Amino acid sequence: MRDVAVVGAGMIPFGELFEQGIKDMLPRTVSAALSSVDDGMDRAEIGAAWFGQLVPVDGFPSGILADSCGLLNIPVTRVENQCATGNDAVRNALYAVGAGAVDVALVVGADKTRETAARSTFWDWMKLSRDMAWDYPLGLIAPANFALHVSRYMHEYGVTPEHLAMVAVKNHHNAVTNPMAHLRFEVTVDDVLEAPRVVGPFGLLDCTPQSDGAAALILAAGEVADRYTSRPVWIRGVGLGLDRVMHAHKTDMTTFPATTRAAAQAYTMAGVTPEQIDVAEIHDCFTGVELMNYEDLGFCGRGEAPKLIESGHTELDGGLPVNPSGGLKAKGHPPGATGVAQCVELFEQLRGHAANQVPTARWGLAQNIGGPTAVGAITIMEGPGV
Amino acid sequence: MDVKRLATYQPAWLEQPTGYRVTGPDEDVLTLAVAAATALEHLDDVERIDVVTSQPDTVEGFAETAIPLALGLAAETPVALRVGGAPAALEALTTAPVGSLVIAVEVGPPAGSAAAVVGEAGARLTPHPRAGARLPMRVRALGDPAPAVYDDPRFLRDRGHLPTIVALLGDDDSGPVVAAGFDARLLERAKVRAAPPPLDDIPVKGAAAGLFAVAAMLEAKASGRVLAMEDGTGLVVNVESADSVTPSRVCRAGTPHVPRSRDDTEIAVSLPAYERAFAAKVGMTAARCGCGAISFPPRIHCADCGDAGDKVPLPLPRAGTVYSCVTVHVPVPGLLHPYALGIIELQGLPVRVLAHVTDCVPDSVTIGDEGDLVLRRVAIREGVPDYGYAFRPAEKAGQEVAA
Repeated sequence: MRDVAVVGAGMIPFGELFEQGIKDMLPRTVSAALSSVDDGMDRAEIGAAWFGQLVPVDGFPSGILADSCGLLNIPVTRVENQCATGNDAVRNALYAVGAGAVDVALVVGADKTRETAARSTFWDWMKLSRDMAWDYPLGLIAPANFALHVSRYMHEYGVTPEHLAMVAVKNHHNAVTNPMAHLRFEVTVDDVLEAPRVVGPFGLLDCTPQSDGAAALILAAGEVADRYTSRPVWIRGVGLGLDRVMHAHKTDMTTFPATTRAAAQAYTMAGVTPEQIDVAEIHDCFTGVELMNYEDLGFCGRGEAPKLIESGHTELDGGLPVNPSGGLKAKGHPPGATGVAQCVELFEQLRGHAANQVPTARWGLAQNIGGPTAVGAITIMEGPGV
Repeated sequence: MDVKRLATYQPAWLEQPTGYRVTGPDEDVLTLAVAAATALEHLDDVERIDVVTSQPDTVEGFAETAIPLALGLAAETPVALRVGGAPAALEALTTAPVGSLVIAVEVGPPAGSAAAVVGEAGARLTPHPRAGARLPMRVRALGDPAPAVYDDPRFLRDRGHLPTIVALLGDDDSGPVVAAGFDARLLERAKVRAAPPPLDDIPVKGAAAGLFAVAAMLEAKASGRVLAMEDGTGLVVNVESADSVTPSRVCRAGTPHVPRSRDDTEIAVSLPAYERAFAAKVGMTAARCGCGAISFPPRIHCADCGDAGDKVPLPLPRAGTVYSCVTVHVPVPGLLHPYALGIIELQGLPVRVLAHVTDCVPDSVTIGDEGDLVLRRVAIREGVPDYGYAFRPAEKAGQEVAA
């Protein structure tokens, strides 16, 4: 397979973007990605596009992207894999470029969660994403779905609500200096512990906000990358993992096999181990999930994530900064956009021009895990060295 | 006829300030019937089922098949739903053929249900002919939210109850009489010795009152008469207790009922999905693969060996332990607020069930708690009751009610 690089990456700030429809967000995001290409790129050079969107609005996704962004002459494919949509869109585009089907591919991720009343948004989504006979009538909403895992994880490994709160504190702090973030305010451990309860161990400040947003990457085959930049970021490994879709069928709920399967694929393909990762953007839809992700990604052993967060190892100035962008918790989580936005952050980190630049960044990892905790996607990138 | 086994059930919730037992939000006539019958030692000798209640809650589309399925009986076991109160319940009981399971249910309040298996050897019940015409003191047409009430208790007493007591009990002073469905003080007024009422919170009216009265006699190993009477019509049954018949009683220490809110958003239903899942969901029946692996909900493709061939149905135990649980504090359209979800590991099997937690304050259950899965109406979906299992935690030490 050919080498594939990211040569451009852009996004619009995440938030409750009532003033922008999907047809406004997409062209702005695509323009941002094109503008970020060091030596310039015309959109006519894009050979194909992949569009990750979890919930379509205003029409079918591929058509909306092509029409609103002047891409009517190329194939456009909509990707949906729950919260792993973004990184899975990257993976699909990667293989098309790597196989030689196209030299330059556009990956866009976007979602408008605030197009319907806040109360009903995720309940409407439940109807599509839960077993109609067994699970849907029980009200297995997304926070409950993850809370059942985190509750067991906390029980087995002695993880405390304070450990969860530390994740929120870290990610909120990072987002303050990230102009793309949805929530840009500090929180304290006490703020998190005293916030109104949502489900189980999660209070309001343990949960990602409902966000609108879009992000885009431009992938180029190795042999054409130098037309666009002398500092490409190579996609060295991708993985997509799956797991049983019903909680009743899961085995050990203190880990996400969807993540560990995706990780095995990605690390093997990239030829690296977890110790080599310098910076990571991982899926903290709920604070406790970031801790479980540390373990599933091999950043520490089973049950050791609390020690990792306590030690500051995953802070911006730690040995492995995690979620320098603010993560889903504070940067926000439009599901289709999130994975792509993680890669946008890593593109900037690995080239040394991120808003919250970490000191050492050669290898970056992006990770999603999604609903109901049954699909995970990972992208591993290697930059020119920072 | 003889009663071979009898069990009573009362819900966990206490209404304030009356102290009456009230149904939980996931209980209805059908689940109360199953709850009482589940408390019987076994149902091996049951061939047909009668459900008697004065307040049927579903008149079109009563899901009668759910009852035998939930009890582990053949789905085609005949089920008859009979509308009536204490006299009708005792009539049903004393005229039922051998092999009948007769279940009397009242949603009240006070709520309760009682189930009896009729056979050839047990506690002998002998009915006497009914007396007294029913006076239409309370009449409710289908669809009316409230009954028409003729508010004249002394008329009912003087022209209805007292003459019926005299007609049925006459000069027979062979022993104290248990009252079912009416105030026992009327017996004293008629110069009849009344047996003291056994407990404060049992159903005092309706079908269940009839069988609770029989249960009280069997519990005391007493023999004597039960008079079931309402609206002036009544029936006497002679009860001869038997050593072999000791009623089972399911009645948790009461928890004050705290109403939980629920908005009126409808939860959508797919009837094809409902129909496919019905037998496995209501019967708690897993699928066992030839390799021994068990799947619940049942799977075609065995997760262990990959075989996609026919699987054998495997009824599951109801006892289990909490593997994980969380309380949902945010309001969710169509659901109670708050509610608790648990993943329950079944006793002795590598099978887990996702279920609501029931019969307790949502936040009161933790990992490791033991309990049972009980049949409940887990949701109403576009008007269709959705029956499934909820986890009822075992009572903590010191809370049990003496049976």
